Amino acid sequence: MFLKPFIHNAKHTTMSNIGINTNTFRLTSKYLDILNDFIVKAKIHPEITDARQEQLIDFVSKLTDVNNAEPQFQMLSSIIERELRNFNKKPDVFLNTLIQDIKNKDTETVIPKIELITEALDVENSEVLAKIIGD
Amino acid sequence: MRSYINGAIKEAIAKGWVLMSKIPGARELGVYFPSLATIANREIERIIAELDYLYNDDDYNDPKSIRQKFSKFKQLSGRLSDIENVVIAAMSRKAADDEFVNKLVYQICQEINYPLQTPVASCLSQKYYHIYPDYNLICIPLLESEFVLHIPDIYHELGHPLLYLENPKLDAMQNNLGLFNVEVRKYFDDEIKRRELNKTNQSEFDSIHVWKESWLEKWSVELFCDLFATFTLGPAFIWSNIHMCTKMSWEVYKIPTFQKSSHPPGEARMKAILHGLELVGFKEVKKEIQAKWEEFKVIVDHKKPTGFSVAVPDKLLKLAAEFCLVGTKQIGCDIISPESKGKVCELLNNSWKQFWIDPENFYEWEKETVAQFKATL
Repeated sequence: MFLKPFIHNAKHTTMSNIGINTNTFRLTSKYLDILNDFIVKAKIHPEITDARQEQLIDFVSKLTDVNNAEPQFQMLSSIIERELRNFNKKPDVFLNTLIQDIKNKDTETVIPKIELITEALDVENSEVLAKIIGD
Repeated sequence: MRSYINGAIKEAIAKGWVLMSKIPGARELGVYFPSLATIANREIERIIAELDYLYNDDDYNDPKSIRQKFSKFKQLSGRLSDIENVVIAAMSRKAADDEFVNKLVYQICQEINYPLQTPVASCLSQKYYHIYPDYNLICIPLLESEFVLHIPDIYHELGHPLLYLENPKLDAMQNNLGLFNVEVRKYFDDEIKRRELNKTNQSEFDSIHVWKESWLEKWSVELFCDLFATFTLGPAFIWSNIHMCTKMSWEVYKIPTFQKSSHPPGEARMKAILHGLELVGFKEVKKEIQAKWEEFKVIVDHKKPTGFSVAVPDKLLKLAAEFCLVGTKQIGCDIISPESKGKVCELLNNSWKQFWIDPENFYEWEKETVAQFKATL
């Protein structure tokens, strides 16, 4: 009795993920771009400039700050934490050590860590892109 | 592969120019689509410039940077596909009902005092209702302009840009989402710590991480959009949500186990929006809708999985409603009340009242009402 009135004009519908997948694609693309640029420049010109150091510390600090109320960083932080856990790394330890390495301008240690973060974003970015194109 | 990537970049640049030439001219674009054409042109120009940089930059041409070059190419290629499949497609496949849906979305934005520009509406969606905040484009299924019971989903879609776009007018809304997520994170971190202390096997997989990720990456946003729709439209949105569940979402208690999901379980969405409805003064209607929802749950008989109340605790659902209400008010949107007037708001809420008066003959009423509404919009 309850369902009957609903079914008279029923058609196939699916809840759309497009909006949220597009947002994730855009957001991960934005930070992949920034981090890829950093890796490329750092591999060729190994010194970390003061401006770059400040920018990186700000970025990683926001990822570790549990009280950060910026939804974009909350999403990025969750994506990165998941991938770090998949690599059997404790996110808070990994990110806090990275901040210290950046402060020390230790390029050789910083690059592989940033590459790991980039990989985490790249995994999510590829996944949502496949969903957007195939949705 | 170095010669491959440079060849692929060159081809993508050529594709960008071809895409630009496919953007229709003034006559074909009509009244509603020129802004979409402007966005498409600018986005293609930006992508071409970035591809050009990637092709020519010495550092990116260094063999040590090959992986980064591939990665950047993938992003730019994805953006180009998006333009092709979404924006150019929407402009090229205009439908007879585009004028009506654009007027409808405009009227909704006026009534709720939407803080952004009215999105362009296209009624050729094959994927239910969805929105592209970057293109300011909302897509509506073809036949929806003839019916009213799902139109409330437009209000949900209008919520997405408010939670995503970078614009100082939206700071308050996003800040409330952020503050809510801080509570979500705290709740799950405490629960994870508690569980880890009691864990006997450290390598054992625990879905709690998946629930936390689902909230922070997807569910909070979807819930806020549901709540935004509830606060600006009222009961019609919740009826419409039940309508959607009857058609496609019988697993009302479904929570993810291994991989995050895009939407919170139906039961959680209903709890949050019913709480929201009460917050804006619809206590009696809330009881009525809740009774039908309970009836529906008995019919579908989906069993509540272990962990449901941990994955979607009532306290977070209530908090979501409270934070979202503050945010919606702070960005200046008009909050619905039982006395609210507005052409679309009245049409949608009255339609659901009429539906329940005489469900079997609703379609006849709907057909006539939609025709009259279209004539006067």
